[in-house]
Amino acid sequence: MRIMFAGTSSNVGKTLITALFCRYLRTKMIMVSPFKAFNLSSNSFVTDDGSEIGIGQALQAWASDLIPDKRMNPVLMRYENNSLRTFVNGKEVKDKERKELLDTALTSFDELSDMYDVIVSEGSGSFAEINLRENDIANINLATSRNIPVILIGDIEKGGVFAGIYGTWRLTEEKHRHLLKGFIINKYYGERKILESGIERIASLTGMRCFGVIPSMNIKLPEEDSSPERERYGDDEIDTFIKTMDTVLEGIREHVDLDGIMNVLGSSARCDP
Amino acid sequence: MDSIKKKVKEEIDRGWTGPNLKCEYGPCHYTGQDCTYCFCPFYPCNDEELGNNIVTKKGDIWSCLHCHLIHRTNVCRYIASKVKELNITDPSDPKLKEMLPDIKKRFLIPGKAIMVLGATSDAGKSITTAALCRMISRKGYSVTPMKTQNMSLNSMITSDGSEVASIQMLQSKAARMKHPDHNINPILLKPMGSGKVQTIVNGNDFGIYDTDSYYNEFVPSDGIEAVRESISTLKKRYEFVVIEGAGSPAEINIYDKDIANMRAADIADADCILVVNMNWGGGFAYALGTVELLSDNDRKRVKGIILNNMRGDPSSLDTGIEELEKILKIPVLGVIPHINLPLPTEDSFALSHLTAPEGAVKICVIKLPRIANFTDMDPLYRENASVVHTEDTNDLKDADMIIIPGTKNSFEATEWMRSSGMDTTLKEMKGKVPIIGICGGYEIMCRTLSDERNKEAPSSAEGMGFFDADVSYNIGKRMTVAGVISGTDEKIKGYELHKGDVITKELPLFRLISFNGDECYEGSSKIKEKLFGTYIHGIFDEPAFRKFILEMTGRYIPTKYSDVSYDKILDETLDSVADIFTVSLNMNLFDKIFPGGRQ
Repeated sequence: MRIMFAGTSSNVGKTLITALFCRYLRTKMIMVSPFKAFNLSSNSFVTDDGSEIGIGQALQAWASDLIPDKRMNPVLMRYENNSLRTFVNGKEVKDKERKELLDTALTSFDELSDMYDVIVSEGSGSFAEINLRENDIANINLATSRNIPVILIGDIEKGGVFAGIYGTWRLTEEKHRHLLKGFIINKYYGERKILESGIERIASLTGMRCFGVIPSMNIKLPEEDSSPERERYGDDEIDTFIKTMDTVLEGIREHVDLDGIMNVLGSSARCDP
Repeated sequence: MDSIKKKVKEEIDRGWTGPNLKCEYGPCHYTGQDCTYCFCPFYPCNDEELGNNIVTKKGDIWSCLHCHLIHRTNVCRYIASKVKELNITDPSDPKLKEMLPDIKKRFLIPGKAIMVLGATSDAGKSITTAALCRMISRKGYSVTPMKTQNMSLNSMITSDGSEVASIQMLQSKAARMKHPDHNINPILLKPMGSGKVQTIVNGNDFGIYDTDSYYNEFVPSDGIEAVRESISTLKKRYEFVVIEGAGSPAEINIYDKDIANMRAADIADADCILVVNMNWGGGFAYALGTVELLSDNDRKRVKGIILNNMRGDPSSLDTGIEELEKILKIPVLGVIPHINLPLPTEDSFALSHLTAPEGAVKICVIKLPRIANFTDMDPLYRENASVVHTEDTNDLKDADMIIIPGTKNSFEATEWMRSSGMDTTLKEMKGKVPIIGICGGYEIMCRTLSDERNKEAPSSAEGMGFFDADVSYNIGKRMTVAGVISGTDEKIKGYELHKGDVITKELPLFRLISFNGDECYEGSSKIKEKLFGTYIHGIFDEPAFRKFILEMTGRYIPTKYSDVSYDKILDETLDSVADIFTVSLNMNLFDKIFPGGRQ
């Protein structure tokens, strides 16, 4: 089974929501692995076998009670001193063709699929970068290649969240829109009832369901944009992180339709090869 | 009157001359104005549509402060040709005054309104509005910025004593206006915490609202009325009105209650430009979603899209632009690169990202709860200084200078100063480095603050006791001021905006001189202990006080901006921004969509 959390733009909270959903599945004793085909980051995590992956996937691995694995983030691009370094399967490469990158990502995805019951994918940046469509490996092209149902996450903090969600759906090619199952509005400050008329309108325009409105939370994560090259995380640090995830999960239960998301996940099983 | 008649005679004999760039009083209305009729041949017209009567001690005066009609090139040319045609040589000739109704009919048609919408907050609306104002002004048109409703704790006082958002004042500088008034921002909302806002309408206090009463009581009545009035006034006065929207216009859950976007566009009959921040990703989706979620009528107003804040190669957007234009049938006017210029934006510490030079003076600005008017510090970023906004007492320990800025709530702030340990640290630092309190920060440095306006629930608080001074709350002040640093001839200017009154026994910091020559002292100053307090905002704008205070750190190294007034620095920066927009936008297309003026 598989599902993807994709964003209307970067920094909408994909990493955290993916980690939380992984954690939720663990509370149901489901074997789950996180996956992000492509990561553009200013820093990285070094796995036990010396491979570099995005820190977000390391966090999500811990939330899934797993040890971070290079296959969880097969392609990483990392800024260092104003130049861009590319890592494929955890190792630095020079000038790799993007076409091959999708195949590489799919290989990792398939291997993880063989090992775990559920793969929770995180999209990269915006789901609808129409100018980069051909080069995309983490969003629509991955979703269509492996028939992954997608939940869009929009961030209401900067305004225009309905436009972001609707626009993302509109720019997804008609034949692929069936993969967009619903949306989550993240980082909200007010009362949900104020949003209701907007949510209903988007739902009726697109056929997508709203799976939740998550309040703004001030959670300190050893996040993707912290210090570069974190190699070591102490066991205490990991324990604290997992405890934080458990607390946050309890806190957002009432705001997120987890059963609904489970149904989306369940529906993906019917398409399993 | 005879001498004026003589001047008018000279003017009508001379014919059309165009702008007078060498005039020592110019430009008296706006940059680019036509000066053929420096003395208006119709004065006093007593036409309420053009000017207004002012009652003064010396009697009534007909004021033409906001009348631009006589300074428009097309009007001046028309009058000159009519004077010739009718062979008018005597300024008392009734034929001259009889021309006015005809001129009004021909030329006094409402200006063109352009509205700058954003797909999100922080899309770059404010800067785009400023850039458009400067670009239009450069073409010689009279232009004004406007934002119907702004939520901000950074406000300024106009020369007529109205309180408006600082960013609209900056934009009025971009438009090179001489007399901005409350109309550039008729509704200013100052958040007070726990969902309440202080509402400033037409430059004056209008009371406190919560979200519910604001949208359900204020907006449908006084709110929409204020918006209507200001839009109609500005359209009468200016050839162009560039209106900045607020947040996203496509908040479909509150669409009919929003008076800062499409409702205002409708009232102003504005053509709209949508600005999208490309830096976060998803820009095309946001652009498309925003336009398509507008109502059918509103959608027709959107005439162009600007893709803003693009880092990297703009040509990488080409295929996306093509697809977007095909779906929306609205042209993308251009891609604006990320602009790396120190320009203040609306409500963030936008300048803080600037990297400080080696050996810079470290200036700590204490990040008080409900910090207000932190734009005061903007000029310091052009000095050899690193400006750090901080809540951390450790930051203060190696500071070369400390600023306690303004706050919306001095009482809450004194409490916070104690609970955060800031007051203990400041007492340790006292005498070592200059400490300057501005407005609320000044009040905090006094001995006691007592507010007895509400007789049932008077409130009082202990200040830091740095000055032999106490604060009471009565009428306060809301006005622009000018003067000198006390005991010197070094000029300063700024504005006061406060409810409190400090009664001080310390030496003053400034000597203020009013336009009629009256003098008074302001502020508190303890030179030996390097303690200074003032109610005046904008004190760093003129170079004198910047130098005065920075030299006191003992580590002052001037920069090329140190002797330059911040107005001038801003003016240059605004020019650079307008340059970037001019080269980045398809100007042929732009001119076609927004044809110039009423020619």
